[in-house]
Amino acid sequence: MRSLLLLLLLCLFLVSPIVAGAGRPATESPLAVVAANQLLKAEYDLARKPQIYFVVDLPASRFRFKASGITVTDLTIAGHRLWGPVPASTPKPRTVEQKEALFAPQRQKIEAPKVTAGKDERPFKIKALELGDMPTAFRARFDDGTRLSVRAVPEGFLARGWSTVQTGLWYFTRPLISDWHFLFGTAYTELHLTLPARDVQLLYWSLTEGSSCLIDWPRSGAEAG
Amino acid sequence: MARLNFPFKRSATSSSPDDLTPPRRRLGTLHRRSAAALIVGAVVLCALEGVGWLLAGRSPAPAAVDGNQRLRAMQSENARLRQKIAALAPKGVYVVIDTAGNRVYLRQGDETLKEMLASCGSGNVLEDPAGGRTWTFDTPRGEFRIQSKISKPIWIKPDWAFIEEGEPIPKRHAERAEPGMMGDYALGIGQGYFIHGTLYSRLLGRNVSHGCVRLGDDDLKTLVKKVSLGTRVIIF
Repeated sequence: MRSLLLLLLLCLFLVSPIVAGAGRPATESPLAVVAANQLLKAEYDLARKPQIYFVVDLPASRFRFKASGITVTDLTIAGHRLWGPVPASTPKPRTVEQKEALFAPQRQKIEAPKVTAGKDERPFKIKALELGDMPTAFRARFDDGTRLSVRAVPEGFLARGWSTVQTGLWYFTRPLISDWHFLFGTAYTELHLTLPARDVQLLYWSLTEGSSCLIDWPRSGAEAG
Repeated sequence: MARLNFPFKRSATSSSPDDLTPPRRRLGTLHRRSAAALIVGAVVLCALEGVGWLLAGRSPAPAAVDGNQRLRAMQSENARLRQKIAALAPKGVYVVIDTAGNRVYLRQGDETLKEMLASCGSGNVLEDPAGGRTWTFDTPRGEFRIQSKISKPIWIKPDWAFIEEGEPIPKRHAERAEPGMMGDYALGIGQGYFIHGTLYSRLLGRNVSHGCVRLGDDDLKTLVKKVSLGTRVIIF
């Protein structure tokens, strides 16, 4: 009987920390709680409107397209670099103010045929702006000044070599840009994402000027990935 | 060698009676000056780089949460917000349209019930030669609802359809009616846009429409059966 009681006590002793921990949220730092709070407030405001919004979840390496709180598309971020101070969390979404690409696709103008009695003699040819026409690298600027640059994962030896050179140049030029912004009393923050080429094209297609975006920054320091 | 000779030759040809410095010594001075400028430049660049890195590392003061009680309150507020966001999700089936991939998904919760090949807007631009009007053939993006379900729809050709085909715009409304062009059904999502059938099923999967979403006959039939008025349509 005594041994049974001892066993029971031992079980209680072992289980009690687990039970106590279950009620409490996992070791969430106060900063993470505040950041989550701001993000959730911003998302709730966005989800109530009939629109698509984007969530860049850097801790989980996901780029989500959402509407009404549900995820309609979920892209995997292959890699990311962050330059500059992580902006203070606010319950306000960022809005894409400008989007630019070196080889931005151009809309085609439909040539209306001359009005004639006969039928249209033009050869049939699809003229359309499609996913494949979208660039595999682009930059965007948010209303709070944060920059986003997106590039496709390099494939092949040459592309990887060129990508390494670009990374070097990126790290060389970013401090100078930070200095320049400091002179004008602003901070420079840039988020660089790498995704598969098709996903970059899809992002360019979907991330239109005026769209709302939420960014869940990495939890540690300014430098990541 | 050529580079070394250049200042020497130049000084030899342009030597004035006042210039008594030997060419080799002047060459040395020039090199020293260049080296000094290079070192100063490098130091300035390094300093700028260092300052830049320091600036990049600065973070704004994080919002403070004073006390465990406040933190717990915020945690429960977060849980409430998550619930409120989850409550906004569509109940029952809903439609997701991927305009880039030309796909229509019939979904319920996180589950995709059916994936359908579609044709979405071409993104082309048409200008009225008579002037003033321009049309951009994009499929609108955002969240919509099924507003009408029409059987055997008749397409009332808008002005752009005549302009695109180079035909004169008719005066009588009846001349605009074109039955059969929209397939067997049309689902109105507002703003004059429909999910409808097509005569050009071989173009499904391509961006060729004028903004409406075209579907194959069988898929359209399935969709019409599954959705009802008010069903949410999310287009991205």
